Amino acid sequence: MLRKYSNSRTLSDNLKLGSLTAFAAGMVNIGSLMIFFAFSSNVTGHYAILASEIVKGNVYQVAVVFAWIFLFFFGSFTSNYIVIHTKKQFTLLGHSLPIVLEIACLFIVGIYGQYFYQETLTETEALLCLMLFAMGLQNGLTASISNSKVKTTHLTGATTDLGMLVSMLTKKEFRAKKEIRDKTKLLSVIASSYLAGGIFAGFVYLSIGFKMFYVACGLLVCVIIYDVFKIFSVKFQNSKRRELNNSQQVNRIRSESKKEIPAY
Amino acid sequence: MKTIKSIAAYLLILSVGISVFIILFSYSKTPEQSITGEWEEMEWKYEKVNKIGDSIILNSTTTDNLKQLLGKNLIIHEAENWIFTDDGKLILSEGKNEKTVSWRIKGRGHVLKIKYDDSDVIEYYNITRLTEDEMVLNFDSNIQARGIAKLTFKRKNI
Repeated sequence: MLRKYSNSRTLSDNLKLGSLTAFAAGMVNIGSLMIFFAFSSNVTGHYAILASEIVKGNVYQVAVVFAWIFLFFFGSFTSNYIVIHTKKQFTLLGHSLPIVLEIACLFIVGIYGQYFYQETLTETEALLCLMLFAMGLQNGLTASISNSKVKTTHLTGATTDLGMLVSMLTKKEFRAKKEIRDKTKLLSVIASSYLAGGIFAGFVYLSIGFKMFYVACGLLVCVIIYDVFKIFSVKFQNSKRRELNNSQQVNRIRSESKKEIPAY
Repeated sequence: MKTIKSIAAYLLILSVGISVFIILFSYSKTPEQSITGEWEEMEWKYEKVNKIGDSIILNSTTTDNLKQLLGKNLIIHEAENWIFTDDGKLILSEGKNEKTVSWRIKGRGHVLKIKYDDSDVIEYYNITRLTEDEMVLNFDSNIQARGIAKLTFKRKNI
């Protein structure tokens, strides 16, 4: 899911990455709305709110909403910064690091919320800032490694593209194109996973509260573990193949050397 | 050298964001600070309504009965004076009657949460306006007619 880059990614890679991260994003977004009364990934809405708060002259709100937008931006900046500055031999590490940071942010939100949260406004804003940063990290990473095919924290662009693609599918010539069918499939999966994550969060929040952030962390851990497992399984298969080749070679040499021994 | 330059660029962007935030923050007062103090209820107004059956009921109406109608299931019912203390307590009083509940501000400072200390009843109000001397709260009402009620307060003892 993470180790492949840009055009070397398959539809299956993007589907797995898109569905898991979109589900986590849906959970985080609805969680933040239910607990803190603010979205953690609807940045378009935050721009609109920022504009309206500037007009009203509410400096505090301007500062807070600016911080949210900036942290989403900075999360995305950090993700891509890590990806482009990581050496090729450490691709998985470079692609995993933003997810590790995201897990850390969400884990802090969960731990703090569960044990220390007193519901003060400062705490609320700080936790929201962490969540916005986490969502920026996630969106930046998925967009960066998938050549902008996978964006999972907000669905404005995805819904626009999906609308266009579905309209294209009404014509036979476009329906025949695999690329268009694949993109429609990917965006549909992302949108439905995001929705499913939101619905799931809505239900589980009522019973487990802040612990639901651990579930989101768990999903993201799965993303990393999947790649680590894949790398080890590929290495294991390669070493088995090498052993097999070596033993075949040895057998061939032995049989050839037996043939060459002159008979007395 | 390249690494140092890229790290410097990273830190520069971070510090620009933090600086803008600090500058804005230093010129503002938090809604928690602004709301603390004593407020006097001035007006209850019903701003928007839905249809019930075929008829539209109220439209921008202000009455004492309206407060009774809309507020009968609310914590704030029968309160004329609201005292927000900085330890998160809200003292609601009318004449000799007094009731203490808890308050918190959520979101970007636009949601007021009020909670009974001895039960799980929680109410949320939108803070539409909060200045030195005026506070306007809105809440969605589902009593008889759905709509948005508006409560206006003036600060006492400025």
